[in-house]
Amino acid sequence: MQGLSFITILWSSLASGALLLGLVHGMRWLLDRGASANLAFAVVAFSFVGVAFTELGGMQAATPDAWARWVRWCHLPLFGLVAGTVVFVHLYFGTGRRWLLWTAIGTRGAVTALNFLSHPNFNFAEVSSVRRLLFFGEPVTVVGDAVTGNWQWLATLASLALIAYIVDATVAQWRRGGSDDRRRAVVIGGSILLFVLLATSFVQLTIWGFIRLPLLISPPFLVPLLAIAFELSRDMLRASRLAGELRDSQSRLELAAGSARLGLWDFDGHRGHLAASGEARAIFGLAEGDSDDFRNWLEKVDPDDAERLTREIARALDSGEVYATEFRIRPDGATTRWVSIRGRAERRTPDAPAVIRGVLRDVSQQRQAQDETQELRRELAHAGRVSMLGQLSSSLAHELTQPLSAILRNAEAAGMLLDSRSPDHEELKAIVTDIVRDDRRARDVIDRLRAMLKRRETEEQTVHGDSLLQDVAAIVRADAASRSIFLEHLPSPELPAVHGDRVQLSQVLLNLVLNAMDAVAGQPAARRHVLLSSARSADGGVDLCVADTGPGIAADAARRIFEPFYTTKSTGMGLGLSISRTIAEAHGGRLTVETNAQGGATFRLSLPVQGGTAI
Amino acid sequence: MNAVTVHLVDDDESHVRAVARLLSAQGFAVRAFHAGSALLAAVSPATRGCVVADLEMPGLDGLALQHELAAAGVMMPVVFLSGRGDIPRTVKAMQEGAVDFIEKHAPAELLVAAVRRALARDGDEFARRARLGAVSQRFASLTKREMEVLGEVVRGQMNKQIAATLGISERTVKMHRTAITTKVGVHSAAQLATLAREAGLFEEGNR
Repeated sequence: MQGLSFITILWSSLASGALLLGLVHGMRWLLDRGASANLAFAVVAFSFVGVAFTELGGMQAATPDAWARWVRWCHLPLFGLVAGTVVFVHLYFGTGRRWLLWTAIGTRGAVTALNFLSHPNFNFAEVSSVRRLLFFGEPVTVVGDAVTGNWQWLATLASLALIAYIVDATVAQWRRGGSDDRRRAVVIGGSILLFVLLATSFVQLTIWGFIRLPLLISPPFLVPLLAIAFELSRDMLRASRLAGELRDSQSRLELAAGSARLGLWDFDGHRGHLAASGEARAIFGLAEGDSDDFRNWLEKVDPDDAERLTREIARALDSGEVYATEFRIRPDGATTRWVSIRGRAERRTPDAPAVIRGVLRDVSQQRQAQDETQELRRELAHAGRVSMLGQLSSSLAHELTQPLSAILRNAEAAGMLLDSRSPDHEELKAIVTDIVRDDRRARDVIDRLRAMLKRRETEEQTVHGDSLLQDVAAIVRADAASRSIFLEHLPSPELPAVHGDRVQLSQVLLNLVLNAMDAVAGQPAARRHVLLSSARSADGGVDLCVADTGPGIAADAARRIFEPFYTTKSTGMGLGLSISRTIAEAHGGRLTVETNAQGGATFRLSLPVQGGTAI
Repeated sequence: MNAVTVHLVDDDESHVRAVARLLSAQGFAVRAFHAGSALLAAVSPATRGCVVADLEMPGLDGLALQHELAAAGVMMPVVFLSGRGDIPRTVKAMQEGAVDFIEKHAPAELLVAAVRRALARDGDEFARRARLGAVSQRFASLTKREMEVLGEVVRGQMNKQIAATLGISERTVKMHRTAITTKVGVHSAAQLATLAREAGLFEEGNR
């Protein structure tokens, strides 16, 4: 039993080193499928193992047949070595002409194919004897008498094609001009060219019989193998340094965001994961270790807002537009906080799943301040309504008295009819019908009053401008009659509905109508005319107009009429029009005044069909 | 149009119908109007009955209607209905001769009583005017000299004094008095004086 020779140990070490490199880069590719250059290099390294193994087999062959068989098998890993190298250069440099690449692979493929069709192998037509000679002080098998194969020239051609591609790719890489680019061109391109020249000339000389040494490819290939491994390691080191810098910059960003009380978040819609900074987690009342599962976050969202939020995020993932919204959360399950989020959906590649990156902020304080302002405005609006109805109290009382008194008289009449010997049933039925109708009439008056007098939350609804005018006309009708004012309402039922708070909009119109009635009160009875009308506005909204035949508004007053505490009346706070304009603007509309051609003024409440938010 | 009728005026259709029902149930003849102008067009000085009007009406309101009726010589008493106790207007209505002033939610008995009073007053007024008409006719047949004699009689002069005042003989005075008694149908000087006052004669002379 022969002990392990030096050659065996050396070649095995080379092979295991290459195997290790191949495994490292193969793993790298398995972890990141984008790293295809690493995969190509792994193929090169594994092929190197195969080449070294068959070389070792040849050196230890006992017969010419066995030797020739090892040479024959050596061509298989050699093809992997060459093709892998070419593909690696192509992937790593991203340069070199395609046709040159395919020529290099193709000619080498042709050599490999011919190798398996020839006997005993590509390089030799016949191997009749082998010799033993000392190599590094050890006996190894080399070719003895042999006839060179007929296709040997094709091997040279394949080497030339390889050289052509590598030169082309290397020159292009050099021309990129960066110092890193040039170093890579020299180290990788140069080492491969060196290998090709060394290996080709050595093998040729051996085959032609000028030198008598084992046929060896792996020792010269050590040069490019190490060169490539060196460059790839540099890249990996740099990547890990970049990762470190990225972590640093991320923690700086988090620090900055944290001091601005901004939470950072990334939502992966495909996996349903929401990764977020510590600040974002703290705002949501989530602990550092809690799962990234989006459902975890959604549980903290107020149930009233959760569905809307999910829907909006799904839409943002699709559209890729900037997305911003506000919603309520319950970090501890009890208290409610307002959160504002803003983000944008992105895709790394057009068909990759979208992610949303964004920031979030606790805006409860701003919300509270907003709410308080709004509450104040609501109070003021309410005070305005109460004061307007105060002006109308006596005519409103009359409106209530009429149906109530009618009910009383009807009931008394019914009582008398029932006392008679043969009560008239038809008459009694008519009386009851009238009582029911008058009761409804009284209730309508009370309902209208209650709606206006109630201190209430804003209610957004769809409202028809015409029905608003109708309501207001009903409230002031009695007052207008008692002051001999002709109150006219021109209906336009085909106008689109507007969106807003019915009571607030009625308040604006009531204010305008009362002003108009005051304006015409000083005119002779025949000229006391107030006209309520509605029309489509130029910008597609709805205009509700209150026109009067009063003295009109002086230019100076017209400028100041909407200012708070400005009034032309002896009684009144001068708040009505100011409140009215605030309400109009909160609805996304406008309140304007113009002078009529035949005297008098027209106030115009313009509302968009899709309005803003009521106060 | 001699039937005694309650004329209702109110712009509120439902209310006027209810009041009409109530008064009809009490046996009154009722005519309803929705505006003062409609009532004015339908009545004359000869119309019998009363007016029950809402004080608050658009256009011609209660007080204006009362004024217009008086101007047209319609003497029917007016009862006002009001929803609110408006004292200045109440006073004005009473000064203009309104019979009564009923709040709208007052019990039916009050309303009915007020209507009865108004109709009674209309009846009295009618009777007075009828009697006055007859008396005036009788006085109208006296000659100028007989009127002069009657004037002195009403002032309580004796025949002798009358003869001296008028410059005629006592006999002639007696003759005139007999003619007056025959034409007017009254014997005593006291009765004559009462009738003449009723007919509105010699009022300046008495002052």
